[in-house]
Amino acid sequence: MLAASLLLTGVLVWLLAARGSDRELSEFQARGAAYAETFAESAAAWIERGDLEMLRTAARFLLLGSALFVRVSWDGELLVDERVEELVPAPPEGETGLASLPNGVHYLHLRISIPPEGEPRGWVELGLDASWLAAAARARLLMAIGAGLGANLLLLGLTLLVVRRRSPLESEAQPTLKVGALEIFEDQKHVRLFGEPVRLSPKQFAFLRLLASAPGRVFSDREILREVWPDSQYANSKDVKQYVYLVRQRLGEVLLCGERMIVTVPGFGYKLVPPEQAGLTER
Amino acid sequence: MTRWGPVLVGIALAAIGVSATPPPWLPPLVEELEWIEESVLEAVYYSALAVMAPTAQDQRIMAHRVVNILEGSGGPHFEPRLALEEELPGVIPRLQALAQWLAQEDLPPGERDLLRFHFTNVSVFLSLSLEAALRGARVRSLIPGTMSMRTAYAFLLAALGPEEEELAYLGGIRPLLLRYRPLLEGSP
Repeated sequence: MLAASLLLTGVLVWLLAARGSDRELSEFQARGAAYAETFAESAAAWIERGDLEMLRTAARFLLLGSALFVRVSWDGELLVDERVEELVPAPPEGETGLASLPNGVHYLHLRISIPPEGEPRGWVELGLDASWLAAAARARLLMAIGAGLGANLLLLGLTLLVVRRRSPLESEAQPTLKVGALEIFEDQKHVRLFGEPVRLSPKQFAFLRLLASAPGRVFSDREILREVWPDSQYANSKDVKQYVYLVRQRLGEVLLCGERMIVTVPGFGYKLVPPEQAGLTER
Repeated sequence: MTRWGPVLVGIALAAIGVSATPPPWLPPLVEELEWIEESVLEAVYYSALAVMAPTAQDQRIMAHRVVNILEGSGGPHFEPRLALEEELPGVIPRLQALAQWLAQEDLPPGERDLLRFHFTNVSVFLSLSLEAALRGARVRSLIPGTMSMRTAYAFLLAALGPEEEELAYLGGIRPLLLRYRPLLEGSP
């Protein structure tokens, strides 16, 4: 199941990363083209009214952002040739679209004729840095992998939790002793009543196991002391009484009136009756 | 308007008392209005670029350029790293200074009220535009930045006002130039 989940996550991560990259690239291209057109329209207006200072200021301003180079030509004259010298030592030639510089910098090469309407008298060329696209794709992939691994770890954790909560006794082990709906698992030192776990200390467990070894049989205090406190010289009937009380309490916590399962036989001792016989049913 | 234009200009000339020379406040007013118009047009251009910007970084730069143009180098949000000029006067401070200067000049009452009406609206539109541009300069993602810069663009256009006089309900720089430039040009 885990392998299938990992595989599914991998496919999803790949799909998300690939789709995200395509969307990001097309958005970048569309916005880049609109950006260049806005500049080109204004550039044509500035040139036509002879405001070359404004044109150069605007071109230099573009370089503060993602533009790597800006070139403007009008009537065969190159009016603007601004570029980020460290990254673009020479004006790049070539087709428009995504391209790479010799130093490995990726950029979007845009070329727009000016003026936008009528006979073209020049052009505007803009190179927009596209290196961030690869970095963004890597970051997105890493995030997706992280999220996928996180989801898988969560799934694994939840699975382990469920497996742990579903006791192995339920699926594998068989009770050593069974008195109606009361089940005692000797190896696991575990007791269940109507499927619900009963919390018992080692002595309480030993006491209940003794009674359950012969349901209906009356065990005297002496027998109980010998079995439950074999090494103690000081244990006495008071201890037995206390343990009868405690085990009844534990049974009562799990099942309403569960304490009735341990019956006192005055003058003789104690016996265990199956819950069904004591008139108890699952709540 | 075409038919009644010369008549209206004639009435306006008579109203402000232009007979041979323009009143002393008119040439500096027109000069200042022309400067403001040019600066607002520049801010409009950078707002449009910010709306179209391919990356959030470009958008922030363009938005800050709008803030710089509007506030000038004395403004609280002026960003010197994004100013190619050493000193930018700022459209809003120049407009305020112009309004204060005109308040001290001896203007006909009608002109004073008219200018106050225009300047109040232009000033509000410029402030709203500045607010939107500041939002655009602060956000880190393109979509909300684009929204803010569209708002800035719209308020800048509102501050410029329409080129048709009959649409100039709320005034603007262009309607003022449409009114005062012919008066100046008409004087000897």
